[in-house]
Amino acid sequence: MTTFDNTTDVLVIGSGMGGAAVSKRLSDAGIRVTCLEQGDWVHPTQFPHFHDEWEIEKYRSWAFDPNLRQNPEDYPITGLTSPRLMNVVGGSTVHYAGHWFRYKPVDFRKGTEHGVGGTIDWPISYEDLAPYYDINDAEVGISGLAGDPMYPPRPAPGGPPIKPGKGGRRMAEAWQRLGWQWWPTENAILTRGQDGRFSCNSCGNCLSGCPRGSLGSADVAYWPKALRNGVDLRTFARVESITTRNGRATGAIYIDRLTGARHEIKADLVVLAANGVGSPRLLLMSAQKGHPDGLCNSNGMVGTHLMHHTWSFADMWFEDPIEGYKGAVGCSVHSQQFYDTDASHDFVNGMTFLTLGSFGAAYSAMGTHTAAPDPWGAAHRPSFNKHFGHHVVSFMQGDDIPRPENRVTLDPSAIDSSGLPAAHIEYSLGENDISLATFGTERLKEAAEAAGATETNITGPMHPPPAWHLMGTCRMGNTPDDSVVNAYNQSWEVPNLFIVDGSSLTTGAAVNPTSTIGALAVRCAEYIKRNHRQILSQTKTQTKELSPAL
Amino acid sequence: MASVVIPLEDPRDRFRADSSQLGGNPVPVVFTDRQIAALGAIADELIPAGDGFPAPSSVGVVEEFFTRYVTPADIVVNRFPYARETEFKAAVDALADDFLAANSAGRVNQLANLERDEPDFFGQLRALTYGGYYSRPAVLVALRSLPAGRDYHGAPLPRGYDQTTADWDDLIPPGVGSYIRTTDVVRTTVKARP
Ligand SMILES: Cc1cc2nc3c(=O)[nH]c(=O)nc-3n(C[C@H](O)[C@H](O)[C@H](O)COP(=O)(O)OP(=O)(O)OC[C@H]3O[C@@H](n4cnc5c(N)ncnc54)[C@H](O)[C@@H]3O)c2cc1C
Repeated sequence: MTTFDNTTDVLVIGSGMGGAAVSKRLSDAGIRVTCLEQGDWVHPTQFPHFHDEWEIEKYRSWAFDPNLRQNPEDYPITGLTSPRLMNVVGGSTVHYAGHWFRYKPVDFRKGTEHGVGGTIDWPISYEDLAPYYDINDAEVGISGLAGDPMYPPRPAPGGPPIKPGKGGRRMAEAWQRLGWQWWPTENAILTRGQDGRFSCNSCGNCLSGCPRGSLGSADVAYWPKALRNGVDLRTFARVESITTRNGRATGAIYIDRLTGARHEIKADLVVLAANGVGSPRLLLMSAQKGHPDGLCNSNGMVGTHLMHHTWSFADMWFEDPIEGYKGAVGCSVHSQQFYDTDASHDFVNGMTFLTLGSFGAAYSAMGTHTAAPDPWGAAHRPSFNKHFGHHVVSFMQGDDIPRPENRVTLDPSAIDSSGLPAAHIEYSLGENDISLATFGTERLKEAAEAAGATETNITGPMHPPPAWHLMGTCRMGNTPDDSVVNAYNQSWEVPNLFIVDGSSLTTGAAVNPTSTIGALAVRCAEYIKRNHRQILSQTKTQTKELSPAL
Repeated sequence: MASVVIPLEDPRDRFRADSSQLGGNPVPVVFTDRQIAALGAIADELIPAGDGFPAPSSVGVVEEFFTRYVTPADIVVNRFPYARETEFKAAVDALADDFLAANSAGRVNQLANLERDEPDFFGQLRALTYGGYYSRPAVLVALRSLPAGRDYHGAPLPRGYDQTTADWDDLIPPGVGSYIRTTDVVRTTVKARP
């Protein structure tokens, strides 16, 4: 039964990076915000860091892939895909490594630069977004080293960079030997306490959350402040559809997973932030009168242009101890030697090379990130002893081309615990992606050699890619024909429905996306704050030029 | 006198029970003595003792780990390493007599056949043995005798590794490179692919 339940000024759907940043920023200004989140809080005792079994839990309770975790808050994702996301308060940031890169100015102008596949320019520039990157960085808490000449000048991070460990040092020295650029990586990892959160103590188990609050996940970086502002965050609240009337969003119907009851919540304005898979899924589930193919989908673009980045990994082992179980797992050093499109290559776009920690002894025995397990029997001890604590991983993250055929659709053949249809992913690497990743793989080999690795396991271009970056499926664009939302994350089809999460990224750049998602969310909230009244009377979403000013 | 209100059951309990839980299944699977002996003998062949490392069967790999990470028959959702109690026990029973009767060379031979003929079951045995063995406190002590493991303490917290993680010291980034400014972005044509 559907019962009328509540009203609010702004309804936010999803409590991850996008939803948390919007909720906090709007509530700072006294706007009444309700946020619906299908998952629960992660309780402090649910982090594996204090348990002997912390490593096998990487394949179970802290598996990246919801299809492996199979928790009641997860929804199935079908297709030839390796999805990685989390459905709890704080969203996928609860699982993330915290690599905190900004896009570069050129990343907003890839349509001008080459326009390959479905690539278009963003309707905004780096300069438009820069002030909001600054605000979001300050909220989340960033560590790093100021002065990287590969980026426009920006405020110094709040704390010094995380320690590189022997592994980070080894890769930096190798890149230096090759004459490559490198720089200490900015991370959403506190190296100085902030807001009652502890600084990182190099425990080496990021990617399974952080019970110290050192990792800037949205549950610790944003939600305590948003709740203090009075945001009504409802957990176990799974949205089934966004409701509309006469072309305007009126709110949403959600299922209270605790009781199974359906509730309707009314709002003046709706912000969708359910991520690059969850948002198109919900828009497609919201097909209704006047929107037969799903909400915001009259141009057929919802779910299309999915990007994950292009990946190739190199597990490397060395003669001498590296002790990769120590230190933040996230990247301490990176190289952007091959970041920009180079006319001498046979591909457009570029890549970043990063490093990661190694985890512990059981993970090492099981082959670490990409290799086969150590052999069993008489060969086990020599092999294990050679590998454990002698390992570094480096990988390339390439800027994949947005293509309409890479997409999220609905798959009614599988359902979540509330009976709602699964998401389905179709994603393949295009020719440009393969050329780029093949080039990157060759560079990984060179770097492994320069580092003095005695053994390597190099994946080559990965398919399916590890899908922890879910981008482009409700992209921001310049006209109602080329995108789902405008320059302010306002959907072209429903003026009081905004979409701000990974789905709204127009291009993927060659860097991790979350700092850009947060910056866009802060900017979107600022736009809503300043133009609330005008938005409520709009009957048509305008282009950037004709929209009210920010 | 004020009345005491007894709260109703918290529905969250149900969801927690259905979720993957830390430390494996709360109610351990019960193996027979024969199954424990066979699993211990298998684990001891997968990771032979020696070089200061104890035998898996001597550090509770089966009793403390296999029992929690094999999915009990009454639990619907089967998670990594996807070993279901009924099938897993049946597979152990099928090999127990021959395996226990064999000498070490014979056991190695049987495991090699198992790896070839029943890769899923073999993969479960290996994942449980490797995952369990390298998480047992006695094995952590042995790991610390390795040059690369001297500071290793298993569970990442509460201690962390802040005191012993290599720092930046004299390592300074080269400070080279630049970026393309917004106004400098131009059409770029790349080489044709072969
Ligand atoms: C293992 C891993 C490592 C990563 N490492 C990095 C990294 O180092 N750096 C980086 O930048 N990024 C990283 N990422 C990616 C990063 O986590 C995401 O980019 C970011 O969290 C996306 O933010 P979002 O707002 O788009 O969505 P999310 O943070 O995923 O939040 C979406 C929320 O919406 C909720 N939701 C979905 N559907 C519904 C519904 N119907 N009703 C109610 N609620 C709903 C979900 O439960 C979820 O909580 C990593 C991700 C993973 C999984």
